[in-house]
Amino acid sequence: MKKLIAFMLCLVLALSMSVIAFAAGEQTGTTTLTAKVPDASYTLHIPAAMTLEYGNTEKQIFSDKLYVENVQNASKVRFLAPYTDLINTSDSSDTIELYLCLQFSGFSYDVDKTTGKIADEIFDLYNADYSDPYQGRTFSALVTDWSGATCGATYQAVITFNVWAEL
Amino acid sequence: MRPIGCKGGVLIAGRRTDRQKQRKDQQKNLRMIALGALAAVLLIAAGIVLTRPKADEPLPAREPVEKLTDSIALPGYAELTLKAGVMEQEIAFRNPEQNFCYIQPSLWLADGTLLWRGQLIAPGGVGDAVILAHPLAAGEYKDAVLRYDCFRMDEEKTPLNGATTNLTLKVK
Repeated sequence: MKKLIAFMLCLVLALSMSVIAFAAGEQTGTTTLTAKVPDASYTLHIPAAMTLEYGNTEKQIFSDKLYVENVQNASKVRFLAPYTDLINTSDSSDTIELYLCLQFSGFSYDVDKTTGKIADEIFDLYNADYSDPYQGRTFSALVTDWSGATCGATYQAVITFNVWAEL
Repeated sequence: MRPIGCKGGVLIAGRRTDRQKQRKDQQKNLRMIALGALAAVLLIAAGIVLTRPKADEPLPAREPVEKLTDSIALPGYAELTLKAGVMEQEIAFRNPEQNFCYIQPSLWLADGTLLWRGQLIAPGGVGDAVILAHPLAAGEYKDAVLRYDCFRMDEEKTPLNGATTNLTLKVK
């Protein structure tokens, strides 16, 4: 009887060690996360880039891709859109003046380069008080003088959308 | 009842019955323990066999995610909770799977102090856990900024438009 019990205990020990071996095998090739990704209050969509036609001095609509979705527990989501001039990617001192406009209800509103305010106001991407709370925004860009552009150069402007939720 | 012997002419049959009974009880207990151990072994073995993943079984197919081509999706937060007094935090940021570019998140205080800058995160990936440049005292830090810089997945890592999202840091 004692031998039987001793044998049983050895078997239990052996099997519990094999559980550890299985666990080690399972960990191979997997990623263990030690941090949690918090649930987002909203998902912001921004235009990735803008492409302008060289020499065109008319307003060029380049994006209708500024919007939010899946807003949780916020009454408003608001934004500003400060931006840079077009900058030569090979020579940062070589710039072309750029003007950004928000197209809204058939009108065009200038965006302040430094503050990002639109006609000195702050616009919403989401407002729970509206019948249609989600407001996608369309932008156009304007270059009035291309004469200073360097032949063969690539120019780039970066817009940094400043967004916040109001609870 | 079989007498086990005599001592001084007195039969000790009564004591032997008690001892026999004790031995029988002991054996019965040991049998129960052995049966219990056997049952435990069988249960453990069954659990291991049933729950072990089958190597040959393919993972269930996931629907392919539709990639964005000219816009970037960025998670925004009204507030984030951080641990007070320590630099290592238990949060990380994800680059949504539908993106076509790297995102690089960074955290700033309202006064422009850089708290943390993360690595480039590929679409669908999660960055490393946030490690602050210095620990924060408990409290609320309004108008903190979570900034996203975005880059094409080319050799030059060409900059794309980015975003700053204002939020409140709740440090506890």
